[in-house]
Amino acid sequence: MINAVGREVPHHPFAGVGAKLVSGRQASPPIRSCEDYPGDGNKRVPDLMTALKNAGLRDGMVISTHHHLRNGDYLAAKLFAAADALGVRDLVWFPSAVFPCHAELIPYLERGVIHHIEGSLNGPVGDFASEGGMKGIAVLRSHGGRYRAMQDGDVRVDIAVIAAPTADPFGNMRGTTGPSACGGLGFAVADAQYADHVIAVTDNLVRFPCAPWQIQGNYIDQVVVVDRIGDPSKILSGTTELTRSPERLLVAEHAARFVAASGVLREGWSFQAGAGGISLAFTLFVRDLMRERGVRARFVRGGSTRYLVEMLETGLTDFILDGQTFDLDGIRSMRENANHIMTSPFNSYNYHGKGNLASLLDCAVLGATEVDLEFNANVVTHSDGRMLHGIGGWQDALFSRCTILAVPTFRNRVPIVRERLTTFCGPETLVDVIATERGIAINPRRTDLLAAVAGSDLPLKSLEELKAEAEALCGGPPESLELSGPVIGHVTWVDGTLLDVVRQVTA
Amino acid sequence: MNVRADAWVAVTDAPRAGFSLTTSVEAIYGASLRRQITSTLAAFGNPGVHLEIHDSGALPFVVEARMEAALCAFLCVPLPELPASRRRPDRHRLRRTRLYVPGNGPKQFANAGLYGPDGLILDLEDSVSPDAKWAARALVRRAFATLEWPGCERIIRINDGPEGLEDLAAIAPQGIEAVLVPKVEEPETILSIAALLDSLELETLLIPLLETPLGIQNAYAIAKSSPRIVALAIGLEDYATEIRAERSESGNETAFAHGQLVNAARAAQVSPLASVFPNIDDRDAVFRYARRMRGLGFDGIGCIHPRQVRAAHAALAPSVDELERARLIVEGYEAAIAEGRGAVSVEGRMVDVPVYERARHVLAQGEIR
Repeated sequence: MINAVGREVPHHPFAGVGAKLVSGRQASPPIRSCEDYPGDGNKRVPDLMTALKNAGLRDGMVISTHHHLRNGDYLAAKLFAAADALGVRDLVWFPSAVFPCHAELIPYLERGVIHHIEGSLNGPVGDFASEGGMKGIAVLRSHGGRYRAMQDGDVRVDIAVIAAPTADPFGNMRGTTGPSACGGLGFAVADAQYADHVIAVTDNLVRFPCAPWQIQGNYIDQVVVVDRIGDPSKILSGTTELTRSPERLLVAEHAARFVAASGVLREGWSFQAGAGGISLAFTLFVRDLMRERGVRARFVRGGSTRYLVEMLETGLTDFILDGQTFDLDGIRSMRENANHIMTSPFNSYNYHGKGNLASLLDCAVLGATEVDLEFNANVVTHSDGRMLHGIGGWQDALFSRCTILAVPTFRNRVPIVRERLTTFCGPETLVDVIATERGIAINPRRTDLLAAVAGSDLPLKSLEELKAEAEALCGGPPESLELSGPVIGHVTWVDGTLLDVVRQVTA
Repeated sequence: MNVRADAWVAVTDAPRAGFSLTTSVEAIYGASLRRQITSTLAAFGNPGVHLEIHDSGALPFVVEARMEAALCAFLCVPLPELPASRRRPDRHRLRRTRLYVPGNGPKQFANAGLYGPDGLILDLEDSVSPDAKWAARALVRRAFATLEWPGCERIIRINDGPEGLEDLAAIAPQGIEAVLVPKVEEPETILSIAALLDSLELETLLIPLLETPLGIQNAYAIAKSSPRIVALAIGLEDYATEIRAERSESGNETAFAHGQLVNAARAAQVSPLASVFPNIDDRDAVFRYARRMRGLGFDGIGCIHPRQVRAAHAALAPSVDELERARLIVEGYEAAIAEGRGAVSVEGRMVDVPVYERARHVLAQGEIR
């Protein structure tokens, strides 16, 4: 069937932003009795394999983990090694994101221990799936979409395994202390609430109570202590130095000049910041602009880094609402500063809820792999159809009041502004501005923004002009891509409908 | 090959003539690349050789230059002729910043003009390793033939010695506006370069780069050696060593060189240009450096990273008083011309064409961010 944006999808076609009517009740985990748990609160079991056996692990179950430990995660590998040793097959892995370190799991995909992955795919695992290596179809969801899928019952997690940088025997846990400290544990909140069975795995067991806790032990079935849950040098991002790439700096500067000229940057504003090259540079440019103008933000959402912490500590923002903590300063700040607050995708992004933070944001600066002339965008596949990035919080943050996709017009001879998107991930009704190194395009739908910057010295251009400039350098319009391989992935919208499919590419 | 946006080409005498290609843009430009390679081989008369090409997203002109360099070196033939593109250089334009771009690093070429330097230098000299000189010459030639950098003076830095003359002969016809001539010590160096440009019937301007005690000593003679010269630039990387001074925080050891160069340039009515600034992360330091150079009399500085351009322009911007005086001169002169008056004086000072032009440039400097 063809969905509202003209893409062929197998079921649940996307009908437009806000078009899906909701009804019914949320999913709920099984009822448990405290009589079945140790009265002394000690839920420790000897090892992960025992915990999995106790949890009733069997073929075909849905198993979740989280990406708080980013590229330093040891837990997913330990988990599937244990499952393999138990002879279990056809598991569905439901991670909050996949990192390059998870290339270790490819043998389990090849041997059928893991049937397929539902979660953001990239890196070597993304390549493996793109080339048709996975037995089942990948389901790509945003961070908010992942929460909603569990809440709405689209996905029932049989066993959630949560890496806990610090935990007590009851299962209270936090991420701000311990040798594998990573900051907030927000991505695991949904799994703690909705999974049938929840296992906490820690390398830093403390006496009860682990206070303050980020996830309460009342959700936890079992606690396992291991030597290490992750590699601290890879848990923290190495990318929080300001980029030296002149193109990226110019893109970020154009985005920053846009928010300044349009009045989006004003006393009490809010914005979403990430830790990628352009996003981080944007944060620093707006920080300087805020200092110059003497204005403060009420809150910044992000991806916290030392730069955001500095803004908090010097009074440039009242709060950090933190979805993910990228460096030691971020972790310290979350631990010590009451105005640096952990948030979960429920707070930030959940679409089927009573509001979320994303729509409160005055501005979000995001990336994209492609945009089309109508301002629709792609973030998951490369122009050859290969899965390149997870959706992450990208679709969710599109709901900000001014969403800027900050992208170069071409990367290594790949033009970004395209006649047709390789994969449709985000609808134009939510994309307001495209900021590039060659100029800034404003969605004609946003007559308010157009009026706000009329007469400014911003380099305003149409997407057609940006496309033509990039194509003049790259050697004309790209050849059309004929992807006729089998479907290997579904791209979900935040409401659970399907925006597009991803097809197999040749190796 | 790890370098992005470039192409690696090898030529071999293979039994099977033709080419093999791997490219990161197979899906979207694979067919177009194959057409380009076929057509280039045809232009070389389909020599019985095999081209092995590994492309990581190079722009078409880069692929072309890499093929040309490899084929010409293998076949021992000169680079193929390109249609000449003549430009009339502007002697009086601003030269606050000149941005150096390494001549064998094609990834930076296409966007280099976006950062707004007054001049863009594709460098064949210090930033290119000896074994890459030939490839860089082919690449820079194609870059000038293909790319526009609106608002930027198009400059090459050639190598010194005979290699520089070969660089010039190959590239100057591609719309080069100025040539930065390295390590100039004697007027004769300039004369030979000017003679070559004369024979090519090009109006290209020259900027001698004085980097040695002898060059500094001969600054005035060099500045006066050709009417093509519009500026003298100073390069101080090795200068302190050569005069056997120690590099110091204060920079006192270069005081004479700075003073001598500014004086010689002003005496010869050309523009004195200061050296590059090595720190690229500290924009305040760039600003302070450019301000100090301006204080010494220099009109501009060299930039090694686009981030330096904005800070340098801010530092070199004219003061409010200077802008006001320039505005009076321009308005007075233009009014006088409009009224058909011959002699013009503004605030008691005679204004002739050079004074008017200079005032216009001051105003332009004030307007540019």
